[in-house]
Amino acid sequence: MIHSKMKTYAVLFLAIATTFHGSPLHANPTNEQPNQALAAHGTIAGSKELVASLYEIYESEEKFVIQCFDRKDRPDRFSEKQISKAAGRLWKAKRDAEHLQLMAEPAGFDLGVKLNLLWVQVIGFGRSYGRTPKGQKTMQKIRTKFQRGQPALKRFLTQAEGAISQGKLETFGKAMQVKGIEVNEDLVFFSPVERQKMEAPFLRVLATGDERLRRERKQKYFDMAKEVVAKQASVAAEFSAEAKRISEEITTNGTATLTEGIKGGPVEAFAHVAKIWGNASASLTRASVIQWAFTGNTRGKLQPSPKQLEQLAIPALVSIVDAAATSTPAEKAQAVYSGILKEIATVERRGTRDSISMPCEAALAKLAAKDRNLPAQIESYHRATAAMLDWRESFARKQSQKLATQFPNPAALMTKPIEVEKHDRPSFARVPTKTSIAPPIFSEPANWTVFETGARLIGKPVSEKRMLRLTPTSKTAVVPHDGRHYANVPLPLPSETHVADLKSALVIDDTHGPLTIAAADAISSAELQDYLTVCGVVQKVHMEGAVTRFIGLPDVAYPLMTLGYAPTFVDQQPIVQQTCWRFDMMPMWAHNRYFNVIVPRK
Amino acid sequence: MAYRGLTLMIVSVLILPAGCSKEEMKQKMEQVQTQAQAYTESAVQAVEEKLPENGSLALNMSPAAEKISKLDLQLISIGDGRPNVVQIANYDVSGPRSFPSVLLQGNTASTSAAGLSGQTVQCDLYYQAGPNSPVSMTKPGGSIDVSFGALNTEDNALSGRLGSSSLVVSDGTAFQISGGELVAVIREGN
Repeated sequence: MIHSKMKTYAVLFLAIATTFHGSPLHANPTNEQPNQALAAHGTIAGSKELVASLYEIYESEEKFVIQCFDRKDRPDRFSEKQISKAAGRLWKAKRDAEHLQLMAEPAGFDLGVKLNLLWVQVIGFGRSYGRTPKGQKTMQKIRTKFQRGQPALKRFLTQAEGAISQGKLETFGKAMQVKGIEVNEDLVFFSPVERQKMEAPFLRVLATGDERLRRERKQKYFDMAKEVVAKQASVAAEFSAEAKRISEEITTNGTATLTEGIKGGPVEAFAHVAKIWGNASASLTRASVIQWAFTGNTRGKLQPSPKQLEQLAIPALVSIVDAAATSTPAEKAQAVYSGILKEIATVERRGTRDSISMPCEAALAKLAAKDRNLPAQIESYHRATAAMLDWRESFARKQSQKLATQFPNPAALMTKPIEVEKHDRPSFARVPTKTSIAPPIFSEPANWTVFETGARLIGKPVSEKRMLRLTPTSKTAVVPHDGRHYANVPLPLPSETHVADLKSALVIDDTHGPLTIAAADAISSAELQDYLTVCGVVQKVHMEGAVTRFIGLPDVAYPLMTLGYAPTFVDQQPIVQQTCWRFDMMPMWAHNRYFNVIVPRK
Repeated sequence: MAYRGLTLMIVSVLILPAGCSKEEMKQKMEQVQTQAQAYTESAVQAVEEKLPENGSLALNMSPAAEKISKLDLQLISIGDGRPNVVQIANYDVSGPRSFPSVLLQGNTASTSAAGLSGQTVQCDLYYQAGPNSPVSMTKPGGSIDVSFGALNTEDNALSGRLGSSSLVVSDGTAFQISGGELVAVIREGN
């Protein structure tokens, strides 16, 4: 059942991907479609279009390079014009890729590596051609042209230097680009020594201006990004006001307006405040990562920080329980108490255990006291269920330890360099003997890497910590990001028997819910399908830019980070160059705190 | 009374772990025999004295039979219309387990422990031989029948018979219970 569902999703995905072939901006390279472009976040206007055009240039120039490489024994048969054009085009494209890096697009690094590899090949072909009789003739013509063009070149370079000193750096950049294409087209045939002499004056001016242009662009993009950051961060600040309003309405009326005019009672209000905390957390993540991407480090701290947001959210949630304690009538107290316990447990699984239930203790006691029989019922319920849950927890833990021996932690798999088993590299590419399975930065072309990663990872068993359903009805759960990767797991798992059994043992039915936080955690995690551990095989891998993943994080995906925490980036490597791996898993078993679900093999 | 004391001792003799060497068995037998003698002597002296009922559980299981010499029963009423819960254990459930450890628990409509007499309750069974042993329990959706017999008003204890059940073990092995007998002392039931 699950396998055929995966197939359906794969087919759907393929259908969507091929529709977007012309503008592959939303997908990322996968082991099935390694040549997909890396998605662009588009914080700076124009970056998405530039990414798309550069991937197209790479695609067409790669074809050309492969053609030439396969004929490299007969350089006399090369097309002089095509080599020339390719050299100029690739030189400009490389510069564009570096520009994309300034725009904090990870694609800029992938493209930079790819285009440089092609450029090196084209230079090689040019030099081979240069050594042929036809090539020698052409070079002589170019030498003459160069000599004659010296005065004009000198004037041009003086003007360019003038533009630099006047701070007209974009003008400088455009002019130098046009000239540079010409220079590269001409010099592709020359030996390194002779080439160096001929282009030295041009390169000197280029380097001076480039350095200032780079700084100017960096500042400009940082300022643009700041606006986006401010907008995202304000959503986080609005959270407190919204939570306060809801709490006041519950205190007064017992109901509150939640979204689009829909009213809810205390349990819905609690769940809603937890959800908007999640949204604020996602918003804060997007803002933080934009800031880090454009400053190049993770030192920048936004207000509120994830911890500060948590310090706002917890009292906000406590106030909902207090409000419920004030306005809930005696006959509803047990149902509200039970419902709130389940919501507390659900939020804690997305944050830190006990972080909300403990601060809520006093308010919960107040709520329980509204019904004079309830405190005693809670006590009896505890006596009736605590030992049973303790047994089930130890059974499940021991059983999971036994099952887990077959499933290694993916972190170990991902860091050790191992043999390249299968590759898809073109003829001109060097194939290393060993590479890391899932490298942390873009250092080789993503399409080669993701293909090789897939060959070594697909079908491999892995064990992942924490699996959280995105919404109560979503067909997908996520394994949170661990600094290098995250995972998607399809739902539901076949846990019906376990859930029914647990419900009976917890003495729960349609009108009687859990009366302890442990019981609430047990039943809510079982029914929702949150798990502590999930083990399975990798079905598909996606390679993403880490900053793109978080800048484009939809609100619903807030469980990708633990509430109260920011996503992890390493400062030792350029922020924008860091990768993020997504594993699509086929689950084989999952560990709920109180039982293990085993997915039968087809 | 003396007879009761001897029965208890016989019960203890049978709690020998599988894999005991002949020498160890011989030693244990001798120990127990000495104790039994002492008990019998003191019992003869105190014919009028009543020995307290501790409860017992004898499980017919493969691979190794288990006999436990303490068993308490509580009937817990949550009091809000839910079924009541029968909780049978050989240790104080408000604290840590003592080993071997057993818990039998099931839902019942019965409103008092005494009222369980003559009733059959479907129970979950949890069992662990030692602190580092695997844990065994009835399968999800499965249960073991506990059929309660007469209430002994003097000892405030209920007798009962166990049905059959196949248990799951946390190490992946299987476990069959083919019946058993219990005597459970009623503690603070509602």
